[in-house]
Amino acid sequence: MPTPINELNRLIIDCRPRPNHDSAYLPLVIDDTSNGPQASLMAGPIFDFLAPYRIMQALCDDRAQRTVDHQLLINGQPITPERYLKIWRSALTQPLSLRALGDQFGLRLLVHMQGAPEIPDHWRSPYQDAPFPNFSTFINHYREQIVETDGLLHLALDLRQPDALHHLWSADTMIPSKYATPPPTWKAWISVEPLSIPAMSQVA
Amino acid sequence: MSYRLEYQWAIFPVHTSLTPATRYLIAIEGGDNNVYNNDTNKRSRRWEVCLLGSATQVLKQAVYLAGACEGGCLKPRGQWCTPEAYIRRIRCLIEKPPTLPPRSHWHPQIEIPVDHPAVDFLRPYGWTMTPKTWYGDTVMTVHIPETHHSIIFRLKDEFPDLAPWRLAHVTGLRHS
Repeated sequence: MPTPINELNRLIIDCRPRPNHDSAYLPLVIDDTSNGPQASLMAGPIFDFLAPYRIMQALCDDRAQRTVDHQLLINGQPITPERYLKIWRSALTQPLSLRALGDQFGLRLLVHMQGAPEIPDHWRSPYQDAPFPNFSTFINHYREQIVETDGLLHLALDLRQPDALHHLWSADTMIPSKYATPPPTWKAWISVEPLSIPAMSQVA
Repeated sequence: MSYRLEYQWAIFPVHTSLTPATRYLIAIEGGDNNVYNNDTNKRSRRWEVCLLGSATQVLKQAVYLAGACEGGCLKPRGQWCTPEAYIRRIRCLIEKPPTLPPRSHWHPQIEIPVDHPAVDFLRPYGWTMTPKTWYGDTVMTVHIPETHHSIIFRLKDEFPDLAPWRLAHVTGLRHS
């Protein structure tokens, strides 16, 4: 029998680029591990901001099922799946800003983008009011934060940077779907890290 | 957007020699919102075994299905419902099983993909296995003797990915 997960806290991070944008959240969990409390992304490192219904669905796909046979505990105590979903619903009513995530929990979100330096010309924004007309200008804007390893460019973008969320939403519209032919040469993922650890680009 | 409707639920508690704990088989009468029966002009619906196993296994499967309620892809009795309410409904069924109509019963009807490891698991029993094409996919139909009906619970223990409706069918339940 695997060791149960002991969930200590759960956080909903508001990742809307503008206040009037549709709901776009990132759910985080803080679990008690052998190394002490550890924050991780509830739905995995996938670069995807979720609407509330998708957060509830992701919970039902995994963590809420684990509560049934006590493979997931809340502060060391068993909980029913119904009650577990209810406490997440409560967290959804109090989303945290990225600033508050740093100030209150000492955490930050980094979006990693990695790919070949040759960027196709047709990776353009479909919107006229976009901050960048194409992906190359987005990359050039963050040129100083980019690290090149093994022939690939790697940008670790701290979402607390001014306009980072707005720029990121725009950049996301320029990269083709992973199902496109040929598939895009860039990939993106998210990580949650303590503020005390500098981002890869800051180290470089 | 299309969604699934559920109309009625029925639970069959099963006492097997596999474990002292009772096993359950929950059948649900359901169908899609946009598929209609030409004869009745009502939405098409049928009884299917949707949850199967021990109380824990059934509740876990209920939590998984409940995830579709939040976005409106699953509407019990045509109404929006929270995943919590859906799980509670299944929990109530397990805790207080309602009386089943007379002549209602379940029977194993194993139809699993030919390349699924469950096929090799069943082969040593020496039961008749017949391949069958179903919507372009080849499935293996296994004929289970009456003395071994509870093998479906064993299969669910060994292969949790097997869908309950591929393991058993129900008959004799009233249609809505």
